[in-house]
Amino acid sequence: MFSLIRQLKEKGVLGLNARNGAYILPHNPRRLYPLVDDKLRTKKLAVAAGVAVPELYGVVETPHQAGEILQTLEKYSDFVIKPTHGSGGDGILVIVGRTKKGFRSANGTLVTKEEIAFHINNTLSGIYSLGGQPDVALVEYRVKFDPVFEDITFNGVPDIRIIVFYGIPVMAMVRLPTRSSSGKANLHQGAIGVGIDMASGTTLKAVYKNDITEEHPDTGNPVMGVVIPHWKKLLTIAANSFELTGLPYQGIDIVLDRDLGPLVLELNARPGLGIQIANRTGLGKRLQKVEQYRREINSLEERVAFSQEHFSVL
Amino acid sequence: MSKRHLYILTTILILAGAGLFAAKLLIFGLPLTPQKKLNLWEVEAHITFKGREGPVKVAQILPQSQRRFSIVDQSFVSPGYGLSTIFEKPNKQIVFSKRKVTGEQSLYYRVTVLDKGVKKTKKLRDIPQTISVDLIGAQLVAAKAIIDTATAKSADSSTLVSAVIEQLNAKESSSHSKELLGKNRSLENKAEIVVGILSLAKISARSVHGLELRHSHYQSSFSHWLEVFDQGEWHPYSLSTGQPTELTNYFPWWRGPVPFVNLSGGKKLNTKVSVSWGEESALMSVKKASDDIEKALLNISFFSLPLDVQQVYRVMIVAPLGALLLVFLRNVIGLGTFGTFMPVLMAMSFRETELLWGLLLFTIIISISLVVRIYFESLKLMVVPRLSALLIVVILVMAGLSIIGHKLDMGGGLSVALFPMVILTMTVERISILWDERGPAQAIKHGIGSLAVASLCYVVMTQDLVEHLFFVFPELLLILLAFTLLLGRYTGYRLMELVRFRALAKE
Repeated sequence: MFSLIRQLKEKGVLGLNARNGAYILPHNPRRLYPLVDDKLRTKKLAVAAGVAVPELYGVVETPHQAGEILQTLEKYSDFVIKPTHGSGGDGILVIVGRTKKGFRSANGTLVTKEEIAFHINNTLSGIYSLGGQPDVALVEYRVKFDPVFEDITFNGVPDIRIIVFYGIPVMAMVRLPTRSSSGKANLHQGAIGVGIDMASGTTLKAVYKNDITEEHPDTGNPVMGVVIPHWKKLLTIAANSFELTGLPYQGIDIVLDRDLGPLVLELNARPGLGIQIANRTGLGKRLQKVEQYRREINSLEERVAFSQEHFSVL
Repeated sequence: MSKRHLYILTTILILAGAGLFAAKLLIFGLPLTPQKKLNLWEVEAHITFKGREGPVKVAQILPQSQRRFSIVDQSFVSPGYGLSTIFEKPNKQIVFSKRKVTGEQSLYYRVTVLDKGVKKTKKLRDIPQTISVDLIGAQLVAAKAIIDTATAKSADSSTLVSAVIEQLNAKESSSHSKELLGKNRSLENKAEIVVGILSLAKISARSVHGLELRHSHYQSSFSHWLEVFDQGEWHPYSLSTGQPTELTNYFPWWRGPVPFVNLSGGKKLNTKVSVSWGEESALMSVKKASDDIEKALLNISFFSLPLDVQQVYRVMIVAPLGALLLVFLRNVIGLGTFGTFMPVLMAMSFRETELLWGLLLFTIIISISLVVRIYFESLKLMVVPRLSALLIVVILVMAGLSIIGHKLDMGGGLSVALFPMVILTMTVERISILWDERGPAQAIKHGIGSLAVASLCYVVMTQDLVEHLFFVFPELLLILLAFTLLLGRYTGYRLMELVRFRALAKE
């Protein structure tokens, strides 16, 4: 067991205690958390800074408004309803189309208007929010993901998670929904995480339920060697997220839209550690390197270049 | 910087805690382990009432030294009251009096009783005088009828006594017993009536009122039984079964048809009695101390608190240990539990139910409520009404278990009432949400994790030594605090993470 601990330490693998105790608590000021915990504020912040996000169709704050929003939604055939304080992808309802009786959700089930209103009311009363606080629901554009992921995704929208430390992208992965994650892109719900080479944006091996794999469990297609389009732009958006919120240690989730390109989905002040398994590398060493050099590199371009130069594995 | 700060703080805490602990242990000789040499009991009576802006007299019966029990020490807390004692055979009374009394009043009487464990009773040559109620008119007729039936059914005075009590206790109570007892079927009343009936048969009997001496006892109340004089000795009889009993653990306080407390000039009289056993020998050793510092030491310890409050702290003082254990299991081992403190609270309620019963009852309550919760899901209820409905279901299940447990005569069923119902409700809610979102495997895993942590906390928290140490040496909490703070900055791997990341080490 001690040799295992030593090996993990040598690789710079970060545990939850180290992430919290050495990075999140000392570096991230608590007053900035609301900026990322509230998806609506993040969205407004991003829009103000000129960062592309999925278009906001509406906000529901009271049960009464749940009825109104359904009227607003008449003009859209597909949309996503989210809790603004949700965590771990819980409480997200994806509507992909309409039927005679109502709507069709991402996993193929039919959803009536009443069920949508019930879902919104549940969201408002806070069952999906951190700490059970009353919440606000937002309705937004449903992302049509880039065809590059067509063969390695099952029933959902893949997204790209990038850990950023003091504005320098440190590590990245693509999260691919699977049958067992029921369309969600969160690793602990059964999505697979594929590591990304920071220099080229090429995918590496993947992690599925804490084990390393090379192909998508449902489609059987190889997940390795996919080149992610707009990679440099993605890195620039990620690096810029530090200016957006001021949080030194954060995770950014970006989706690639077929038509609109990279869109920022959300920011996370406590990003998970599964990304290390996906990349088969510890975060610790890269974070230490950033701490060492961060005062010397300032501009956005420099930070992106630093990341591509130092954190490449190919 | 912040880490050094923490190390300095924890060092100070540990030194302070260890220093006080060592001083109490080495200089004042407080015992390290629970002492069981002296069988000492501390009994406290707490009398409250409301004054009526006039003179008040409170008479309370005092216990007396007997063959088996001796009164070692007694004290009164009665600010502003005059005290006098009256000896009114066979009982001694203390009278608290005051000229003008308004508002809420509170009197304490505390007595230390030594149980010498003597079993043999003294033979008396003369038949002692007893007091009995006078039965007249219809009551006298009824009493005579009962005596006649009992005499016909019995062989000696022992069986006669049993037969009399049985007739009074009979399920389909006869018109005789109704006539005698009226609506007041309390044991106290029954005792006096039995004494009266037996006096008609020239049998000397008396009612006895006393306390059960039980370890880890919180609030107590008086028990009532009967003593019958036969062949030069007093023999105790149970009033509920009518049979002669042993009464090994009962301390007789007073005898005869008088109330424990008599109040004149006040209203809303309330009496609470608590009994405790254990650390009194430690207390005694400090009490003997003449030194001022030693007196001060006693004054800032738990022993200076009223007994019922002491009992609360006895339970509470071990909770921090459970909390530290929880921190260790979560942050060092990496076990997942439902809610932060749920396992510690469960462990505390397991103290009353005992572990196996506790686990069984907990699982039953959670399972039944979970089924109802899954049904509620289909009703599409809003969150707050749903949680309230769930709380009602949890309480219904608890009540049901208590009633079934009582009917089947299983002690464990009754103590379910001590489960923290709100915690149970939130646990059911969390399990069901986890069940929906992460699947049953995760939910069951977390549930078993919580129960494992609760059981471990229970085992640690119920050790006699642990309870004794923290109660006598509460400064140990400072050391516990220091360790908790240190664990708060533990940034190493959790044991479960080694499993999670093991694939990375092989690269």
